[in-house]
Amino acid sequence: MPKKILLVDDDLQLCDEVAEILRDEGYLVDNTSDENEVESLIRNNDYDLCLLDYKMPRFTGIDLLRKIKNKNPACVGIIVSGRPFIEKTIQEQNAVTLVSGIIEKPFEIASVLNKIKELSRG
Amino acid sequence: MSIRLKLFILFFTFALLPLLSVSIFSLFNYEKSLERDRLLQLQDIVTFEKEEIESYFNGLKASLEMAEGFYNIKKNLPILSQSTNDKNNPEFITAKSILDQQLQQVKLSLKLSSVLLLDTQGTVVYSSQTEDYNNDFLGGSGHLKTAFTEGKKGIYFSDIFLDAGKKESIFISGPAHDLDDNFAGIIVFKLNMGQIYSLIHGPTGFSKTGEVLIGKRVGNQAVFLSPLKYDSTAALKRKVTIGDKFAMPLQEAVSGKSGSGQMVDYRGKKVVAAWTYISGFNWGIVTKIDTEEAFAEAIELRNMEIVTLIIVFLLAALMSFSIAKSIAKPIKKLSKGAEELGSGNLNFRLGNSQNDEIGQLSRTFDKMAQDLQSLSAARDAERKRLYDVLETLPVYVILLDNDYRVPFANKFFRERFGDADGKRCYEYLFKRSQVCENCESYKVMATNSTHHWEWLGPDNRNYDIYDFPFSDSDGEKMILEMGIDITEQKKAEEKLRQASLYSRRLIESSLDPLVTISAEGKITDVNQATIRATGRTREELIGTEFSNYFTEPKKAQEGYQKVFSQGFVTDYPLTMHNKDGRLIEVLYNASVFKDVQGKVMGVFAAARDITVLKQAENELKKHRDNLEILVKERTGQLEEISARLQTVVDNLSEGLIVSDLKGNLLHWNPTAIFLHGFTDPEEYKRNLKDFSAKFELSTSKGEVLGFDQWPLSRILRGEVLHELEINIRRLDKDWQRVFSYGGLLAKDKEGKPFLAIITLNDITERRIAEETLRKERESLQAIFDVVDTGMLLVDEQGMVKKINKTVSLWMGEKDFSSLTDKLPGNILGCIYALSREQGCGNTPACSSCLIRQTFEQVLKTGISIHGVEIQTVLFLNGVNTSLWLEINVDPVTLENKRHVILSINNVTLRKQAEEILKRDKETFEKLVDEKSRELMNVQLKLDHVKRLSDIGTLAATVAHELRNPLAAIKMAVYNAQRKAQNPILDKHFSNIGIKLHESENIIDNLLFYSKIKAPHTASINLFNIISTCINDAKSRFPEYQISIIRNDDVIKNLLVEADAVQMKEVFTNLLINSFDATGPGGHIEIKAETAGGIVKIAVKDNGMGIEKADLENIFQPFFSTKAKGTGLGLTVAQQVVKLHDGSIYIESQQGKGTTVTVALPIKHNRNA
Repeated sequence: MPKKILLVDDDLQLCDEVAEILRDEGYLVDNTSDENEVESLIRNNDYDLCLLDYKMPRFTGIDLLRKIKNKNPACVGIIVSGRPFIEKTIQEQNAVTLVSGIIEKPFEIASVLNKIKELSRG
Repeated sequence: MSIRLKLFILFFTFALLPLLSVSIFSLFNYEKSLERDRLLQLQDIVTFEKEEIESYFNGLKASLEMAEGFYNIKKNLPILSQSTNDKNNPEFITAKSILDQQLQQVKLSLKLSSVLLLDTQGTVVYSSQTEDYNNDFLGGSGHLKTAFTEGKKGIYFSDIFLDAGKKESIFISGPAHDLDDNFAGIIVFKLNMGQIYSLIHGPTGFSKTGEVLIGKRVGNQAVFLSPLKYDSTAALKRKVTIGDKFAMPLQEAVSGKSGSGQMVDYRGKKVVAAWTYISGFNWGIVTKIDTEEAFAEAIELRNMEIVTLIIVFLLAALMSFSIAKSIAKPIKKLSKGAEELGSGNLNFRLGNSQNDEIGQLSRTFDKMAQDLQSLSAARDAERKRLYDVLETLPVYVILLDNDYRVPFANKFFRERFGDADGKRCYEYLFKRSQVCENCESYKVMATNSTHHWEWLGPDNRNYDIYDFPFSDSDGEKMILEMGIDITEQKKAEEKLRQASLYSRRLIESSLDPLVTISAEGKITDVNQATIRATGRTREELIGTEFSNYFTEPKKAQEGYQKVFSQGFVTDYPLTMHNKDGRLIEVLYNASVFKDVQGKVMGVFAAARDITVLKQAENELKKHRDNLEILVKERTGQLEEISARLQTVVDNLSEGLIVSDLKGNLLHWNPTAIFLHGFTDPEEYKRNLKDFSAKFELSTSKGEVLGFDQWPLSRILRGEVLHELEINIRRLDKDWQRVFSYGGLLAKDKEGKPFLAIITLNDITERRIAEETLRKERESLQAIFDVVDTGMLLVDEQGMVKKINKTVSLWMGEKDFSSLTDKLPGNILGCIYALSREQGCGNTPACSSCLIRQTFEQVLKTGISIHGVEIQTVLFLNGVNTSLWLEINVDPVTLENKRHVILSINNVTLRKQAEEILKRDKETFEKLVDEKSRELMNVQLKLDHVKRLSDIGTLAATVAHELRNPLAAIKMAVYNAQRKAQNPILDKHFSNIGIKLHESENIIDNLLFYSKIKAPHTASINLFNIISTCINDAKSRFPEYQISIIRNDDVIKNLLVEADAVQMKEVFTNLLINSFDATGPGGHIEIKAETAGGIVKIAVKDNGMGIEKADLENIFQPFFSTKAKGTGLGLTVAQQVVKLHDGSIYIESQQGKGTTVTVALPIKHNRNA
């Protein structure tokens, strides 16, 4: 059963490209940059893994992760961020338990794929 | 009957009487017993006496018998008888003497008066008493004869007789015999009765009046035989006839009776006697005591009793008297007291201190008097109070009697009308002689009920009169009249009436229909306007149902009901219909009106014709609808604009915060949030006050700002801020920035502020850079000033912008500022310049001024001209001085404008010494060259730093923003490559990828550089970090086959206090440089050593190395020998290392390789 991934990033192009990459790797990917769409995607689907950009215009990736985890605690949460000290931010937001992994921007494709493979195995 | 008497009777009855009766009784008994005793006693005595006498006589008899037996007598008697005639016969004498001997003895012993012997003839032959011889023996007393006669028979006791000596005597005779027992004669004893008398007089010696007597009955007489106590000659003489009323006891006694009793004795006195009969002598013997004496005790007792009784009686009387007194007196006093109290003297007190009931009563009485007194006083006080009240009433109170007089008038009346003085009311009030015709007061008398009327007083004031029938204390009928001055009231009433009239006219003149409605909804009053509006008459309207005159009667009813319930109603719409059919639209305004008690009387309603109004309303509605449509359109537009604005705001590189006028922070744009390091809206969507605990704001000088000096506080006060530099630091974590604040109050069209807008920029790095700049500038200035050369910075226009200290010292001016913006000639003191007003550049000499020529040349060409030697005269220190100047002019661009630097040296001395120092010319020139170059470098640095500060912020933002697109491109390339599956295109894709790498690097460095801040030190393992960096570098250059040699085991377990992220950056940069330098097939060695608390790590490569000349600039920002690269890598490394109090240096040989060494203190020196 292929893993279902939710990909959310406010950079539309990046989001599309990464989604394509992941699909090529065999994952089922839903991606969006629109927060309304995110809400409905979460509502209508359960994902095995989610890749969430931390900083988005209206909310943070953590907020989103919380919503997802509320609905489906089994979903593996990965935060993507270009910020330094993202770990600290996650700590400060009391979200350490929600976040299974962090990917720093800019990232190497290989490392991303590895990480996803690693985390989705569990 | 008085108490006294009562008491007396009481005493008498209960004390005296019993006593009396008891004593009488006992006395009686006593007397009785005493009598008995006495009688018995007397009986005993008389019996005893009787026996005594009898025994005496028996004794005598016995003696006589004995004498009869005397020898002597027997012998001598006959002798004597014979010789009787011869007294001198010796026989006689002898016989007598013998007889004397014995008979004398007998006589003595028997206490006889004499002893006689008689012969047989009865002649006395012998007597013991000589005198008797002489007297011839008694004479013939008959008694002797009798004695003889009887004596012959036996012992004979004679009667008592009086002898020759008048003494009572008695003969006791008995026969004598001779020796032959023949009768020889008689022996006679003559006994003096005194013996007997002494017998009987003896025993009653116990009493005074007691005596014993004897007597004999002779015929019918009792003869006393013994001398009596009260009659000593009574013996034989006193006689009493039997049957006489006195000497009763003797009478009884001589009658042969024995007895006792109370009788009357020979004196006629009452005696208690006992008598008995001595039968041998026919004597009666009586013992008697005067009753008086016999019952003396009884009598004494009786007397005593009487006395006692009298005493008791008296005592009783006294007691009763005194007790009665003690009762009667207080009671009298009490009654007197009551009288006194009754008569009004309440001061009277009894003052009785007796302890008995009377005393208590008296005291109670006193108390009562006291109470009455105080009660009376209280009543008096009350009366007075009442009187005072009357006096102070603001109305008059008078009493009128039957005769029109005024017995009482209170103060009010008296003040107004004067005192009555006994005059009649009409007399003294109105000076009339008869009753006033209009007076109604006396109606009360007739009807005997209250009367109320109005009166015009003599003072021309109106009074409201109340008359009451009143009965005086003695029953006289009077009138109590009360008068209230209602003059003012009347005036007020009149005013009211006028006012009422006026308001009526107003109501009538109102154009609005006015009605009053009763509680039942009936019209009670209307005005003209209502009449007109309804088309009905007043009479038709009044009393009818209000709602009848409206098109919707029910609504009208509801209307006025609403008024009743709510109290009022405003603008209640109704439609009136006129009789002629017209409809009038009205609005009703109505309210309840109440009476003084607050009870609702009805509703007062006013109608407003709104027909015209309604039309206008409809028009308005039409307009309004149109307006709404327009507004909707506009709103939509506005919303769009607002959204766009929001986007702009959000995407500003400046932080923007919007606050309301109270300091509530309504909106933060993302930049603002980011700059403050907030992540949670909770943190920042607050009131400014909430931050005062978390943040500390201070000025650039370090003064801490109070809350009211915070930028927003100032803005809210109306200040406009622009580029206000504030140091901001968090109190709860290690975070501090320098922000540049701007802001103002946003005002609406009227100029009223409604929002505050705050902008902020993070100028921390800029500040640091500026600080660095300033420091550099300072050091530059120092350098600038220190040099011996006078230097001037001149702009394109030939104006001196800056000079150094040397120049000013030449000029003798200490104040620099006055020497700028002037022409060089003026500053330098060129005499030509000074000689002309226009100064430098405007004199004939200026055209040939070498200085001028030189710097104009340089400006034109932009090429430095050095070593121009000029001989000129300058006005220095007040003196025209001729000197040689050597001038160097260098072009410089500042703020995009061309300037020159004029360096002037006074080479006069040199020139003078040139000869000597000619050979050092080279050195001098070189020095100058170097100096100029230094200056240039400094300028460049200044440029750089300035650029940096501007660029830094921009770089940060740009870099940050570029990251995302780059990432996307990267992904896209990846995908494209994969999708294309075209080997020909692979190369191109690869190139793109490489360039993307580069871009990332650039961005990293840019970002890093712009964000370098104080290291977050922790104890970190550099060995591991280096390992990570090596891996990262490897992954960046995957195709390079470069070997990495680790010779840094020393630090494998060493923990150094440093910032891990920063260190990573450092080593990454170094490694990348090495990678870049070595190219494929090269090797890189990592060496480490520790010494003296410092750890040194060297990254050595065998790459192409660095030119010596470039080594100088290798750490400069944006300096790079590579065509690609930001030129920031080593700069960053250096900055980081410096921040760690470490050092970095580079050794390189071109073509051989490069070694970069980083030295760090193992322990972070906190004092640094």
